[in-house]
Amino acid sequence: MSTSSSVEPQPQLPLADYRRYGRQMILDGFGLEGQIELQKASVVVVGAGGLGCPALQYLAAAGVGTLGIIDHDHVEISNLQRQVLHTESRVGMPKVLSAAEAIKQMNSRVRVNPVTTALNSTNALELLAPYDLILDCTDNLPTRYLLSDTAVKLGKPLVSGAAQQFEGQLCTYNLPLKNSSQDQLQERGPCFRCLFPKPPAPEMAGSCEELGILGAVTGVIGNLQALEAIKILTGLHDGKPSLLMFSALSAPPFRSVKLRPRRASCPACGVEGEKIGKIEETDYVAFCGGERPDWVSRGLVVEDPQKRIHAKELKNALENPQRMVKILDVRPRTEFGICHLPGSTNIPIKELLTNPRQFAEGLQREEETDVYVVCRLGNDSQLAVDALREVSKTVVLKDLVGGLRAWSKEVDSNFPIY
Amino acid sequence: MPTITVLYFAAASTATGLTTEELPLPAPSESDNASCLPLSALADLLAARHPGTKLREVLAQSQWAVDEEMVDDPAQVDDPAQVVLRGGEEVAVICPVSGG
Repeated sequence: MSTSSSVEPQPQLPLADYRRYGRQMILDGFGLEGQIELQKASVVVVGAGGLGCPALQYLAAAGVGTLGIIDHDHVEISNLQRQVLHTESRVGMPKVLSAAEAIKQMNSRVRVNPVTTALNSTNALELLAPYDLILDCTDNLPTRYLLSDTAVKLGKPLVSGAAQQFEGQLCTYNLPLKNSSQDQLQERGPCFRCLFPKPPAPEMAGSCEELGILGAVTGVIGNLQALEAIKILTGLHDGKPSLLMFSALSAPPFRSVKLRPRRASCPACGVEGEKIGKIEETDYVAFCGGERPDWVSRGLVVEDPQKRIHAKELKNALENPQRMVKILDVRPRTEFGICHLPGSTNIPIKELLTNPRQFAEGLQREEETDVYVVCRLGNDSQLAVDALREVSKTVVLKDLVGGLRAWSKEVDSNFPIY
Repeated sequence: MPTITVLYFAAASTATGLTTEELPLPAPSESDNASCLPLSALADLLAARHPGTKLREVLAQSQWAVDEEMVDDPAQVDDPAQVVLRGGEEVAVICPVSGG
């Protein structure tokens, strides 16, 4: 008598998987069927960063059969505080290959499809079509709109996560609804465009580099994305579209709001004949207000040499002062607290711009003093100089080209770059 | 006096420096003998309470949720005054977060 006949149902998973996934297979509502669904499933994770890493980690550990990973970035040292699949030894490697390597070590049977091309409107349909479900783990609005529109076209659920500073959001767009009626609008939940028809201005949507992010916060949201995906794939999801907001420092930290049904007028998922606007041939970057500014390059541009000083010249001015010298540091107080030039004074740019006259008066009393304004990259310091020049008679009033980052690179390599 | 609770998240919280705020509804008018505020008038009221901040810009790009349910954009529905706050509601400002 063969061993296979002593067990019913006939094993549908490799024997080792029963032991490996047993802890989740014994869950009511999950069972053998849940594991088989995960094994058959394919999920594509767009973005292998702060959200993508924890999401991929739990999807791979749970035994999702196929994982696509799309990202065109390389691992940097500043990623490691939150992008937990990457390692020190893989700095410089494409993120998708680093993540694929980590997954292979964790669960060698997961099939991983790494894609190092950037997702765009010409390749999105083709790249995402092979998968059952899409995870939005990206860090920018144009790609978020592109993913939403593509998910609608492909009729696939889009599990979207976002995180910034101490806060995060989780929402599944285009969610298949349970007990849906005949009404076509009822079959799927709203898309990202239904919720946010107008993108916020680029200056209102900062990046993690500019605004900061705590790794455990992206971890919370990325984990929730994996959980949401597993619930949808195994039939455990209640099929009710909602937006979950997480705020690490608030009590309670989690709040959830029910979403409205799809908008009949939505240009992406609305009803034919009632749609307002078109999304065909959308330039997503232009739609979201243009390219995100490259603050490093902008901080290095010198248009008027009378207004700016290079790091080495500033060093000379400080070492051989002809006159009194004052350094004004316009970064936020927290950043000033991380590191600053000895003797520099901190006036955050927000405060300075609110009332430049008040600060200029302080400078006027020191007419013999040369004033040099510094910041992190050399952008806010230019705004400060412009504002102060309008109201101040200080003869020498310049800002540091490239900011304190340039100071570190050109003058003092012991000055921290952050 | 009837009040509502406003919840701020993400950019709205950064702009105001608050996560939540109690807001008294404007006094009753002649035409209406109870305090009430159309949701469409809330943005102006909140922006006026936080002068010198970016709250007005943030609100222009945000959606409202009242008592844990999203509300259709007041600018996009036929009757902009259709959602009326009468006190006791919890109103959340929902703005998109893009980082990751």
